[in-house]
Amino acid sequence: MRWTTRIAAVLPGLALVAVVVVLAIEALPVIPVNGLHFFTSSTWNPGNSYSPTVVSHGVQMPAGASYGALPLITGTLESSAIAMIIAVPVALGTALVVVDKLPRRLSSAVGMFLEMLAGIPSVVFGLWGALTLGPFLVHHVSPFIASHVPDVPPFRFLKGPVGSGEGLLASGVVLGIMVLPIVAATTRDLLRQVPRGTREGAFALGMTDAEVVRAVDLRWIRSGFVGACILGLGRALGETMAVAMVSGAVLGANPANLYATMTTIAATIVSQLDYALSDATGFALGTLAEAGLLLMVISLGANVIARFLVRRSSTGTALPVGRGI
Amino acid sequence: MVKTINERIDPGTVPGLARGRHAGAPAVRACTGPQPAAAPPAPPALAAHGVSLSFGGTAVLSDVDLEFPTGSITALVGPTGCGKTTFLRSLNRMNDRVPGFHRTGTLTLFGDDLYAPSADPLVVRRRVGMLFQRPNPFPLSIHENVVAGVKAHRLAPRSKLREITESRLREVGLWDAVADRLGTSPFRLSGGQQQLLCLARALAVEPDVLLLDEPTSSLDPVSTEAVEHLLSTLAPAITIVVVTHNLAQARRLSDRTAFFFDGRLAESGETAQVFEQPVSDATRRYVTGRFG
Repeated sequence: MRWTTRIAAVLPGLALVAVVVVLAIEALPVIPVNGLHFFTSSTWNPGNSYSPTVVSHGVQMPAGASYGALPLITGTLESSAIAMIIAVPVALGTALVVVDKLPRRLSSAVGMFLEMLAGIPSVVFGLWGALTLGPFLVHHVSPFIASHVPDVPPFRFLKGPVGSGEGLLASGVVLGIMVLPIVAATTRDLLRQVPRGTREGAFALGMTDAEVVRAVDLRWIRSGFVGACILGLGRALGETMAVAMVSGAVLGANPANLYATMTTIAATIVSQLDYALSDATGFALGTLAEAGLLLMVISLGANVIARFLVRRSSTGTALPVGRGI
Repeated sequence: MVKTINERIDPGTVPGLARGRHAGAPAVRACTGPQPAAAPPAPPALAAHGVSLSFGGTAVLSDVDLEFPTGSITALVGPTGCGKTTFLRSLNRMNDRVPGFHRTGTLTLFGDDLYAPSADPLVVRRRVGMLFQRPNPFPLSIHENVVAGVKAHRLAPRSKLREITESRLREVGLWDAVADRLGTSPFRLSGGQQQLLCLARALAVEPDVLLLDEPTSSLDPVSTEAVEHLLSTLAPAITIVVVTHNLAQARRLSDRTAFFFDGRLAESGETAQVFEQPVSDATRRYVTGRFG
């Protein structure tokens, strides 16, 4: 009994260490070869597998192999940013309505739908994105945005050819819908912890619903809400299948505009794995492992930044609850 | 110390309860106490005529006629579940937010119908403030707590907010305790201090009437005394209605007492009379401690 509990206690930690160690062992030899170039270059060239291999930094690799992950990094960050821009306000609105405005029966029905949405396999989202959402965006949404935004620098990214429907916007929207239930359900649970009496006090001062939300609800849940958003962001950054299916999975170039095809770190790993396994030098596999490590670092970095923000924002007005993370 | 807004605006302006919270003129009624004798008799601060209240078809309170003279302190007493808190909460339309709430009869604030179609509940709640049983500071800083209502109703320019905070905190006797930490959380204050902060917050929007729902029942005796003393000093300027289970408090504090029993107003009148020569048998048994 004692041993089983001990094993149960250390297994999660061991699993994490094992994953990181295996990734690191795979990636370590190629990191010096790829060098800084990995973060600054847009070229993704696996090299010529029919020529004799070459040796660089003591590592065997196919001739002409050169890997630059910059488009993967920007694609990951941009698609996740679009997802959060869509998901966070909608999730907050949904949670507020579910907690405060809907009759109980309707609110539990909406809650059930949220949980079902969270449970849909990502490959189904990918199919829907590729078959339905992409064509819809390219016919009805993208031309409207592209023709109505002003042609000045910050908005120029929204202009340009609207493409085929596969690309950054479609990826962002699909990710947003996948992130939405995570953020909304967590926010709903946080809002339920806001004491009735505090909200009543705000209403008794003659505040409107919106003012009560601002003065009480949002302040009360602030730190937990940041946590909920990071939870969603983690999902968006790491989501693989759906993005691989709707992004166009095009390597080698940063998305030129909102509608261009692109790829992310996760989608690249899944789409390149097959080829990498056939690379007898193991260099391609090592590079994917490096990309995997990079994705982990980005996700962890987002977490650390979020914790820092939460700690800083809660020093002024320490709250009894809502320290979600 | 800043002058109160009552001193600053023309006492002749008596805006009604209509919508337009952010309209140019300050939506503040001057509390000047009794009106000059030449005018027709001024309506009482609050009055209920034939008021019945129910939730989802279940009657809570029936046929209440009660007047709250301007500047008086009225205690609402009675056993638990007699409807006094429901009655109190219908005086600032807090029950509007409760599903199934229904009211018949009229409730007036200085003669204006509180429930008229043109009456804005937000204006009603600003003019009829409320203090709750448990302190309920907002998760904002102490300063932001005091001026939260002032900002919502745009009663003062941004540059005046600090002054308002100071004057209101001085008014409730909290200034010296918190002057050096206005930007910090109110949750580190004691329960009594939090309640005083909530009182400062309620006073900051210049209400004509203050409703208190067992304001000291969660406080220690020292804090209770502080709150009671404060209420007695507010009284001539602000009409006060206080629900209390503490009969000694009702007796100490109030000019008038209304005794609710079994979903009805059993008796109301001068506090001394209600306690010493009650008309109703139920009142006599309650105030002498035979039940409740």
